[in-house]
This record gives sequence, C-alpha cells and structure tokens, in this order.
Amino acid sequence: MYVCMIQLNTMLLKTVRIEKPTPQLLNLVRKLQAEKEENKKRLVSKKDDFFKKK
Amino acid sequence: MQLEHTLSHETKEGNKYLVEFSAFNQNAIPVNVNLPIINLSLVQVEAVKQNSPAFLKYLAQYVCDYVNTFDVILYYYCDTTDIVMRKSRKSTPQKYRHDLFCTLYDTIHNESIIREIIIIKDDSVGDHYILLITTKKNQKELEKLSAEFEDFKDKV
Repeated sequence: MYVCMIQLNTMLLKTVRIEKPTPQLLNLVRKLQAEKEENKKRLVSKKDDFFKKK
Repeated sequence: MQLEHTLSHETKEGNKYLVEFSAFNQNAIPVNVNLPIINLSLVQVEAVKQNSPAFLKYLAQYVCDYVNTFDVILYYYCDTTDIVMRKSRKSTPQKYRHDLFCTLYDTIHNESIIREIIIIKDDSVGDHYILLITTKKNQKELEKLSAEFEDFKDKV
C-alpha cells in the first residue's frame, strides 16, 4: 500500500505589474513608502522598551 | 494575539527584530474594501551576524497564523533600506526583499492562505513591491483591493 502525502502551500493568485503608473498612483505609493520609513525610525528609537519587556 | 501589536524577537544568532501589525489610517489608502487593511512592518534593530533560514520560516509562519486568526488583509511593502546580499546579485533592496518573501511563502504549507503581488514601476525611486496576504474566504475582498490598485493606472 502506498501513502501519498500532499503538502498544500500558500497560493499566489496573481502578480499585477503596473508598467505605466499614473502620477496619482506614484504619489500614493511614494507617500506610503515615506510613512513606512518614518514608522521604522519610530520602532528603532523605541527598541529598548520592547526588548526590556521580554 | 491582538489585532494591532508589536512582536520583539531575538534570533539564535543574536539579531533583534521588531514586527509590527498596525491598522492603516483609513485616509492613507482610498479603497472600498470591507476588511481592515493591516500594515506589516519588519525592522531589524540589531544585526550581529547573518540569520539562518529558521528565522525567516518562523516569521512567515507567524504571519500565516496571524492572518488565520483575524479577518484582515495584510499589506507588506518591501522597503528601500539597505540589506546584505551577495555582490554578484544585481538587485535593489526592494526587489531582494520581494524575492526573499516570495520564496518563503512558496514554501510555507498552509492551504488557507492566499497572496497577490503588486509591482509598480518607478524610475525615480525604484520599483515598488507590495505583497497582499489574506485567507481564501476573503478572496473577493483581496481581488477588490488589487483591482483598485490596477484601476489607478487608467486614471490620468
């Protein structure tokens, strides 16, 4: 008797490539990128608090 | 586990990471999706030496557990901060992170998790790589969100 094991991985539905974004979309993603960089700085500045808690 | 929280993690190599799950300000992304969009931030706050793949696997599994716990769409933006990569690899930090995460999620065994990738060309600051993650039951909302990104390309 053979036992067949199937592992089901997370599924990638699709990849959307936007080759010619409008200025509006570029503004949006650049703004989100800037917010993310700021958020990273905030987390780094508070790192000692997080690791003390552990 | 709470919807919004920050996980602090020290790897066995001694590297320290903060992983933050935070809700987007509703004005930040003008979308019509009936689920909270949660911003995933991964920050290396202390680097001692190169990680083993074990940490990345732990992180991907943690993210999958999070998405299985809450009805949300997780938004991960691959950022521009420098990252250690082989000199022979001609890539930007964003693209490298993107490739790394894609490989990682390809290997995680969790059939309930679905993903979509959005790549936006930007010659000025480098291409943008966005990863959206949710569960199968929220597939319609995920498709709605990525369609809103796609629609932007037609608005001039």
